[in-house]
Amino acid sequence: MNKTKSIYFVNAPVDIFCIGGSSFLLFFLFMMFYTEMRTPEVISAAIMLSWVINWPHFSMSTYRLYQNKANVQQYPITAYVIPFVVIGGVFLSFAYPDTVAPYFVKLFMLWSPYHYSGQTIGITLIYAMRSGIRFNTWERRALWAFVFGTYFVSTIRAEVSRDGYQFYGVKYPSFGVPQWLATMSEYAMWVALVLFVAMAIAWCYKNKRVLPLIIMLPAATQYLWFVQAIYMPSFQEFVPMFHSLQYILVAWGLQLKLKMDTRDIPPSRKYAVNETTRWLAINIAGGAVLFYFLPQIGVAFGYTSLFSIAVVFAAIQIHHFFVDGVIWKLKNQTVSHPLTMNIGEVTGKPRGKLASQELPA
Amino acid sequence: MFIRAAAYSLLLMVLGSAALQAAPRVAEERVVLSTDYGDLVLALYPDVAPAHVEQILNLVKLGAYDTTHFFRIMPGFIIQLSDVVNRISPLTAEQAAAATPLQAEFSDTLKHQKGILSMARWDDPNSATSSFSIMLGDAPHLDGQYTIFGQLESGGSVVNRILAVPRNKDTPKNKIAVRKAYVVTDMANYYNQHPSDPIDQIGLYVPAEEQLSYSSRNNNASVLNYIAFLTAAIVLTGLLGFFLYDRISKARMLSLLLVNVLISGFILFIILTPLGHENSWLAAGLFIAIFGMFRLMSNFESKKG
Repeated sequence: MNKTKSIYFVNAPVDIFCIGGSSFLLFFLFMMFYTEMRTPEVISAAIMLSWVINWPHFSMSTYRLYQNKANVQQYPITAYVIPFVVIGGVFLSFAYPDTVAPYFVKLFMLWSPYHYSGQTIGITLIYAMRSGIRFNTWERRALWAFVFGTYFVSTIRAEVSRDGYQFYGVKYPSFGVPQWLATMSEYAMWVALVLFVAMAIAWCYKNKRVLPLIIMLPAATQYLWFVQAIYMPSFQEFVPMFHSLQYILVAWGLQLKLKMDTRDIPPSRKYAVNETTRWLAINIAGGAVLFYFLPQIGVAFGYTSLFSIAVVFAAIQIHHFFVDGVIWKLKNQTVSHPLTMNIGEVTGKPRGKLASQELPA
Repeated sequence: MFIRAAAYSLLLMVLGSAALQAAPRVAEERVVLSTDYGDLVLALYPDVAPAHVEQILNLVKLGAYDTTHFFRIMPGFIIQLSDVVNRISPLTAEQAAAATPLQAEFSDTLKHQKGILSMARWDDPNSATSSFSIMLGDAPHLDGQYTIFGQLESGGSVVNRILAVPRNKDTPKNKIAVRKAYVVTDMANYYNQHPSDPIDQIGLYVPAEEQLSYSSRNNNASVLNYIAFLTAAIVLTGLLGFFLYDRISKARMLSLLLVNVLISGFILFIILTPLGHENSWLAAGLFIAIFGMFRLMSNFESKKG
């Protein structure tokens, strides 16, 4: 398979920073200079970043689905049925705050790290595709096993408790799974890691080159989020932001390239800047509507703001999990082709030669 | 004769003062604690414990007692309501600020007897804030040590239903939450709409099956309602698939089936999760099933799904 023009959407420092470098940087900074506890300053910083990074990324997936008729026609169940299912969950949560709401919130809390894991694998495959690398079945399985191993470890550890947890004041139950399941999942994760690393080394040996760091970075970052930094509450406040930052880089690249191709817009720096500004503005506004204004509807009906936030946040994210599950299928060429873009193409300054690319079957 | 008259007067004065001491003035405002098991009406003694009464009324009016819960059930002794800070929903800043430690207002004359409301505290006698107990029997060892601030006026059968809730030692297995606490001033109107429920039968009988199921009937009604909604959603989705059968692809049809799987799975999730606490294998199975459902949902609107 021919390599694409560049492995990176922008360049190595920017891509590495967005995909996981920022996570490691903050982790080490916290370790060296900061308390591990969740202080008001940490919470304030995380909230401020939510407005411009976390919340817009939810809006981006909704915008991508609904921005043109072709997408809606391609995924009509997601576009037309799922919103009603999610609204139904919200309605029942408000109607039965003690019986349904805790489980609606818990469904989101269990699904969220699963979604993170899916994104990690997706981004790994995107950069592999960009590097001209195609993982075989066993390599994919090893990647899957390690990434989801981190999901199992972090989630099962939390589910051993029987005391339950709180999300914006909504107390939701935990399963009370046996401790041996947590222990087993940890061992399984380490075995998967060994396999994954072994396969990476084998690939390097077979192909006589080093696997690009950016391909390993998403999985390493997920390990940091879910396992290594789990006992650092201050760092945990920023994990959703890091997840969103990964998403924004990839979604931004796709948006620029897709619009340029579908509307035959000539590449230029002006186009890149204008479209980026427009797209970010729409999605920052969209994120504010979703996460700031929508919960006010619950407050208007007499519910506490915390409860409204809990239910609405859970609903938005469950909807997001469905949408992301359909709009990012790499086997779909309308998705995979734009994901080979590099910023140079869009600004009119392409990197390397414009070789044709073989896209994954 | 004069001596006899004086003796009678003195006797009347003593009896009168004893009668007065035995029946302290009750505030015009009553507090109603509305639970799944019924309403408890609290009469307050503003002359006996003015600061306590004032704070409790303030907390009720601020909504701070909503979602508190009876966490300690000791038949023959007390049922104790949690502090407002330990209620199910978090407090607002205003509510939290209103729950301040109170100076003790111990009574020299009132006794801890059935129906009395007694303020809970820590070791420091001046540490009471919001938690209190409803006495279920005599407890002379508490006299002069804990602040009495009122009595249970109505709700005897409610107390008996609470006592019948399955417990783990003193802790009820199901949350006995106060859904709403509010102040009532027009008691005549209140008792017109809610029959008085005397307290003298507290602890003297175990509610009959149909009365026990008051709470479970309420809970069952609540469970049936949302299961009905969810089942209706499953039926609607099925109907949608039925009527669109010729017009949509196999992949879309399978996606509608997955929606039904999701809704049905959610129902089972709600019903089975509490049971998982009793059975760790069920808990493990539930977790794995949830993961399986997420895997299934990744096939949504794919060529495979």
